[in-house]
Amino acid sequence: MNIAHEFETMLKEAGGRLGDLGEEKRKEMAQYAAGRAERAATIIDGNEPGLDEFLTAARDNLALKGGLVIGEGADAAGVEWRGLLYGALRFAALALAGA
Amino acid sequence: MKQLYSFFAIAIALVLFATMFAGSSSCVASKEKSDQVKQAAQFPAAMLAWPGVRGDYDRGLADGVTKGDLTPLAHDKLIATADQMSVAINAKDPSALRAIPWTLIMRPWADRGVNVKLSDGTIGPTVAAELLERVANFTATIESLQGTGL
Repeated sequence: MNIAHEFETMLKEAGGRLGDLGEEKRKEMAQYAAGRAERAATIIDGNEPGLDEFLTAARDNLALKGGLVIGEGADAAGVEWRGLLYGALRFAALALAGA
Repeated sequence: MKQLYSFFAIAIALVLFATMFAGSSSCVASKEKSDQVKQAAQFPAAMLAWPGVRGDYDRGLADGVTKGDLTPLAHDKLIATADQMSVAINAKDPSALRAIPWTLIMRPWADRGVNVKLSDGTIGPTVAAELLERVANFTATIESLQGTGL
């Protein structure tokens, strides 16, 4: 599964209201999500302690990053922040459940 | 002729004034809209992340007392400030948030809490990196929110 591609697709599907956010920011979020997935794989492969803490922190980071990315684009008229934020949270839940 | 020039001068001044006023109103409206979007996107994220960040912060404070870097009185004051932060975040109140010295005073204790957990083996280095990133993202979010509603 290509995490970055899946995430971007999910963002696009989140109501189809994200056009104002721009391709660049969608990709930024997709890459950020992919980074979390890579860390999850490292932790699991290395049997590193603290997986539960990681899962919570990764979820929080996706939400925080989503909020910051939306904030940067807040001057663009009609930005539908809910779509992106919920999309990020849905993705986090799916990605982390499968971790 | 002189009266005509004066008339034009006054007319031009009025147009300029009206343009400036319209521009400044537009800027104010734009700032309000931008603030609304930021608050709507960032307060829920801060609410979600705060319990985890608070846990790291409390751990850092406890370590500070244990190692003698923090007096019990200072510890209690920092706990009270964190409680105020909880109220400000849950109330989605940027003005209350501006009164909280998160970045300079409180954040280092959250970072310390993560490093304590890494040192005692509770978490590994990759987990610690994610937790430290959460503190950094949380800090950026709080600073962004503190700049809204002005």
